[in-house]
Amino acid sequence: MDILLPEWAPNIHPMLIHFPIVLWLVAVLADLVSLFLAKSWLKNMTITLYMLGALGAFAAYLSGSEAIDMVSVPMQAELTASNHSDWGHYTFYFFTAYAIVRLFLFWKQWDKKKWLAIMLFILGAVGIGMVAQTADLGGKLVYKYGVGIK
Amino acid sequence: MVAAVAFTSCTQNKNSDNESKEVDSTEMMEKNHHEEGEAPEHGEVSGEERAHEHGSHDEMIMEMGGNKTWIPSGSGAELIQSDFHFISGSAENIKPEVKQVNGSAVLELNADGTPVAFVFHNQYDNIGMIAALKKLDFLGTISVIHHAKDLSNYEFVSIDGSNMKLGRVVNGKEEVFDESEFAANSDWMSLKVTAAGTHYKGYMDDKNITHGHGDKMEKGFVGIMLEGKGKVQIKSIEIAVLENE
Repeated sequence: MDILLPEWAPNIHPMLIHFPIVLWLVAVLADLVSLFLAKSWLKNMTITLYMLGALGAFAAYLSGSEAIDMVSVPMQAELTASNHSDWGHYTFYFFTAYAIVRLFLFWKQWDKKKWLAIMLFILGAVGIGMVAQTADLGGKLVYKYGVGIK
Repeated sequence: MVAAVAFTSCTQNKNSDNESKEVDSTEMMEKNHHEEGEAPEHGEVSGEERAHEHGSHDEMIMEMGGNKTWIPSGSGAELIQSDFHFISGSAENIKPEVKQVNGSAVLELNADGTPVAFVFHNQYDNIGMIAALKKLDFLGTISVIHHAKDLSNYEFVSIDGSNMKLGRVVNGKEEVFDESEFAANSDWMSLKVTAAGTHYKGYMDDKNITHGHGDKMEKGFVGIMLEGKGKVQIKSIEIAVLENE
């Protein structure tokens, strides 16, 4: 995998982290639209985006676990790195569990119930908060403490 | 300018001749960044500025997340009694001497084989610590310990030859989080440990060697433990209180 890395990149983690952020965000927006617009293609797209978002979170989780021991972390940034890692774990677990639940409900077609669809949308929005918290801490590591900057 | 201040937070009953120095290394770190071509962040407050804001109180700087570097000076025996206390062994077991090596004062310890652990007087929670060490003829294990309550309860990063071990001792029972080899040399080495939340890391010369996880421990003392025989030199010990943002 490292052979695919550009020369300037410290590791693959920063290349992957944007996928779960964007995929999940668009999935939740699509979920919101589908509350008002009951189109099957929109529902299919939403489920697919959640699946891809969970896969992206898995890739970010794996690459992050490897990256944290490869980069130099200033002492004052260690707690931020620790919190970023913890939130990365929570986000990955949440995304995975949520995507599995959504797939099951989609398969059973139970997600057509309005009240359940609203609940699922709210839960999906919680996922945005989690990924935002993870991303904020990751951004601080890079832009405040210079972690991963060659 | 590097602000050097008397070690008032840790030193008791000492005179000016045997004072060690504690250096706020924030500016030193900034200087290094500048040398590497990095511009300081806008609005960044130096340790010295923070000291002025908070009445130049050493303890307050540590509370605010500044770095402190302990540097030996004066008489070894008086220094170790004033800046540290022992949770295992005594000064007689390590015969401390302050020597001049290449223009720098170093604390030389000559261990007689009795396990010795000496710690600073303050207790810390999330902490980072870097000890600049040199093994002369020392054979055995050198540990940086933290969250230490007593000899039966502490966390550690230890080196023995080219092996680094990271773990904790609870009620006398050792639990190893991670263990790995590193490229050992006979020169000065920088042994760093960080305890941030449930994440514990050990570095050698700024390279991460061990990384483990465990429950967060209550705050405790930080210091050095020697289990072995022979001479070890300590040039400095840097401490950083790690804080949430």
